[in-house]
Amino acid sequence: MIGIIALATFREAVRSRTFLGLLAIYAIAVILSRLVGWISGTDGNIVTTDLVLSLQSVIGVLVAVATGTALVHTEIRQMTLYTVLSRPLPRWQFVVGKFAGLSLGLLAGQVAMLAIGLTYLFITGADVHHWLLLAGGLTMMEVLVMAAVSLCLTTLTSPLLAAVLGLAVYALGHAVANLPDFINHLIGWKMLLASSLASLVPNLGMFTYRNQAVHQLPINWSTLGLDLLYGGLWIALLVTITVAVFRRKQL
Amino acid sequence: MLRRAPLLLLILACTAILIGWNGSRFIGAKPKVRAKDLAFLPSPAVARAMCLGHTNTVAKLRWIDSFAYFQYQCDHLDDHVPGQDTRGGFYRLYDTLITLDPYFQPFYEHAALNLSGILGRHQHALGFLMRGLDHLPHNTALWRNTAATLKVHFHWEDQQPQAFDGFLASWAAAELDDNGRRMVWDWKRAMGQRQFKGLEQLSYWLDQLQTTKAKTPMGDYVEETARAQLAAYGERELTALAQLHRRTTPPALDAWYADLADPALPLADQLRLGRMPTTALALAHPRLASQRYGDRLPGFGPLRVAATGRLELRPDPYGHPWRINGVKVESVGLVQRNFEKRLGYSQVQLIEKAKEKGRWPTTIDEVRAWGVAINELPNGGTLRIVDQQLAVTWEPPLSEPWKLR
Repeated sequence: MIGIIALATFREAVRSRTFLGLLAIYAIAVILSRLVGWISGTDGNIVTTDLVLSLQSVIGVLVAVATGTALVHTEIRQMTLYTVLSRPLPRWQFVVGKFAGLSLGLLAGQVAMLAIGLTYLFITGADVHHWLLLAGGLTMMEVLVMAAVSLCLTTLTSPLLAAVLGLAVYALGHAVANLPDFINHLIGWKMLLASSLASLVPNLGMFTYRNQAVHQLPINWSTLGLDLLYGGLWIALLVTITVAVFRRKQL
Repeated sequence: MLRRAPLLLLILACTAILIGWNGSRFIGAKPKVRAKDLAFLPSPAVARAMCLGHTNTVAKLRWIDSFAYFQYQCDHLDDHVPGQDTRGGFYRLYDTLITLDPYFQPFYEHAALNLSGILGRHQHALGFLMRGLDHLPHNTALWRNTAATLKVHFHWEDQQPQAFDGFLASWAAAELDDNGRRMVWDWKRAMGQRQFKGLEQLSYWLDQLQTTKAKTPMGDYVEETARAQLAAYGERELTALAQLHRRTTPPALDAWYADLADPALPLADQLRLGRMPTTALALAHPRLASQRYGDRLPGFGPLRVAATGRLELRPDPYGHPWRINGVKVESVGLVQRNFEKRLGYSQVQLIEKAKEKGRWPTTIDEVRAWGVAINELPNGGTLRIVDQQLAVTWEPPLSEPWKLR
């Protein structure tokens, strides 16, 4: 049953206008990024590669937040949810199936973006190597974590507020990556409070390998494994919270 | 379909008008001098936090945005920014950019060029280059740039030859193949061959030409600096040749009275000296050249041997003729460029006056009336206000400028 829900969600996600629209925006932005490379007056390939990888992350997260927040809410609004749940289908299976489908859709989108971006870089003469693929892969994990955040938030509040909070979590998630540089400016309970609050937010800096990938700096494979495990644990936690909230939700 | 036709036509018409309107801004657009300041310069750690994981991209965009500041500093030469930090705008900017992306080579090169070339802060420039060697230890361009800075601005080859050779040995050790290692010592030899008295810095600027691209702000600045050095050198050499000419030419009484007014010459010379030549072409004389140079002409000097075997005077590096002005020889191109440089200061003053008065002046006389200092315009130039900028148009040069790239 999870698989059927996942497949249906996947089809719905990849056909949604938001998804396709943002993919089109990505393609246009990637083409225009070459202009920035030309303006730089140096080796524009590195500048373009930086932009392509950043766009994959930013637009990927936008797709994740936009699609994730609309997922369950659309089902409730269109009342198709009741039809699905009227079968003897546990709510947790519904949530897991939805998230699985969303993840598949987002991964398909990320793969498409990476393919478009790397193809464009190759055509324009930039250096395309396997480190860029690795960076793209870690960005996919970042997007999946943000999808889980969006799904969790949407069960707690309205879709609009969930989207805003989702983007705030994205900003915080990267900001906390740099918090260790500042934490020694605080002492006593302030340091404890800042550390505790920062620990409640996923550290999205762990998936940021693109800055090194552009310069072909190798990644430590054990670090890569830990990053993927970290992302997996956050996804598991957020989906579990979503299931717990959804079970008790009055539909 | 027919019912929708008027709507479609309206959409097409509005689209065409708006695209045309937007596009018209780019037709005939000229670059403007922006009074760009760098007041917003967060510390590197804060900047890193603000990038939200996109440190490379933000660093590149901030760097591209700072090109206007570079152009501004070419005229202004005042790098002071508000706050207690006395290191200046360029230092803080590149400190932040390098923290955000320490593996991007142009940051180090531009830091060195801006701090050393424009502001003369060679110590800071060297600091950035050494920092670059920490992150990019096998980068030939950075090693070469550092070696050129040590040689030209710190005179290591003359004053600390052992230390300089030690540095070159480190460079050679950092190269990854035999060609690279051999190239280090070839470089040292080539720099030595391009050493001319009066052109000590030229080798550095010619080196920088190779690392920059034409038609970019940095590339144009480097090319312009090299060209100005060659023009100034040409002026000195031709003036020296003109003095030789005067010592060997019988004086005329009226010229003798005129020469007495020259404070630079000792009285004995004033009594002895003849006339200045009527044109600079007279300075391309084998007798004068052999007195000054012996049997070898300097490669970057104003004289050359033509294909016919005769000695000839090249045009100045800008393609203009040389000009006798009193007891000196001038490069018309250099005079024009110096005027444009001073016009940059006037432009900065004009921007500040316009902000005070809340409007732009319409004529040059009005600009002068506002108290903006504008030097006397050299011959062959027309000064106007174009798009809120003081613009000077010169008569085109008679010859092609020297090819430096």
